[in-house]
Amino acid sequence: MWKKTIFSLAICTMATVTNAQQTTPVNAVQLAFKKSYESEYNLKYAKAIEELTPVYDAKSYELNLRLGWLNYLNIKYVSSIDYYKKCIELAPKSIEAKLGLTYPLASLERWDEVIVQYKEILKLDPTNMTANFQLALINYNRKDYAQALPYITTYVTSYPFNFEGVNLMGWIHYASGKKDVAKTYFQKALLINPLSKNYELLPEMK
Amino acid sequence: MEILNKIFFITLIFFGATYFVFSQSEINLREAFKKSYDAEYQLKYQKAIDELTEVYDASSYELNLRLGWLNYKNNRWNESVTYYKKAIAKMPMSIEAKLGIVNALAGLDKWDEIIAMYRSILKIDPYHAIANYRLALIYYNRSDFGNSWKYLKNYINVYPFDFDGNSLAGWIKYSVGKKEEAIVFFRKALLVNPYDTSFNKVVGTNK
Repeated sequence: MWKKTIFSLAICTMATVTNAQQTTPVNAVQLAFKKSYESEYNLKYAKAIEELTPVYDAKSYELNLRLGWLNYLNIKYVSSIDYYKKCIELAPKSIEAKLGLTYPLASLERWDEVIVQYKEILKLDPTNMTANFQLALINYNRKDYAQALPYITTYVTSYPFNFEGVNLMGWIHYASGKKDVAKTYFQKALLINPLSKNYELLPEMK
Repeated sequence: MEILNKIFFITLIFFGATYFVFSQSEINLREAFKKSYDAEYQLKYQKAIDELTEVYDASSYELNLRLGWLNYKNNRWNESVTYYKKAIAKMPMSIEAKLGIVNALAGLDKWDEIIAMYRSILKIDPYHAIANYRLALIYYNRSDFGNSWKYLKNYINVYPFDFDGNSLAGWIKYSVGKKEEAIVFFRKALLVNPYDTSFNKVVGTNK
């Protein structure tokens, strides 16, 4: 009976030891993150990535997020996208990962995919500041003012005294030919930043 | 014909005057805001308030918001709350005004009103990061860990790699006796900030 118990305990202990050897100890991961941050602060992005390689685990949200960020900083946009996409698979509700993914996508000028990510954020969080503002800006730059307007309206409704929001709202109206409405927003923008020279050349503002 | 000329002339005078008054009042308002910002940057909050007094219009969202902020900075919390409430009445969907008023309410220790304000933000924006995190923190400090977790869950679901979120998640779990779950969150927090020492007594100094 005792022999059986000791044997079972030995098997159990061996299995635990084997498992511990197969997975990276928590301390090693924390140490790797610490070294990675130190390299990042010194702007050594490739080294910051290398510090994480020995402890990399494809199922770790944290490692994928960090590698997404570091690869973006290291101008390895395609790799950055791959890591961020793994994050989103692991944590589909993560807004931070979706926001992170927009950086390398924007650098590669994959604007349709950027739009998809912002719209995904808005499905979770319809009044998300960044997503609404950026979607308004992208559509404004595409001269699609009708598409830009609802996004900037949501933004300005929540943050009516924000220069970027009020300024863009003005330009969207101005570009749509609604110059009187635009003027109202430009005047509000000038209350927030009286030093702005954005509207100096507009005859409507003289 | 003479009557028509007179009407035309009167109309011209009227619109010209209206345009001039509107433009002049806009210029005065802008100048007052500029002077107010200048005074604020020099930490002269009372002067920053005074600069706006002459142009004050109770129906202006912008003036009430700015006076709410400046009175808060000037430690006039009751006045600050009054101005912010006017701004909120003018723009009920404004999150920035609601975030502003909580600063003054916190100065007055009016925590139930702060909770109401954060909840009203969540009605507009259910995943608002600040509102969810701070509600979780207030309930944690009240030892109401059930409500605290309810709000924090929303926060860490969308920002899983955030130090404050993981730290508070760990402390909530620790407080309800779920030490192993607490350690998981503390270890995540330590990945975000490896220099933190606030979990040493739980996680151990060798982490």
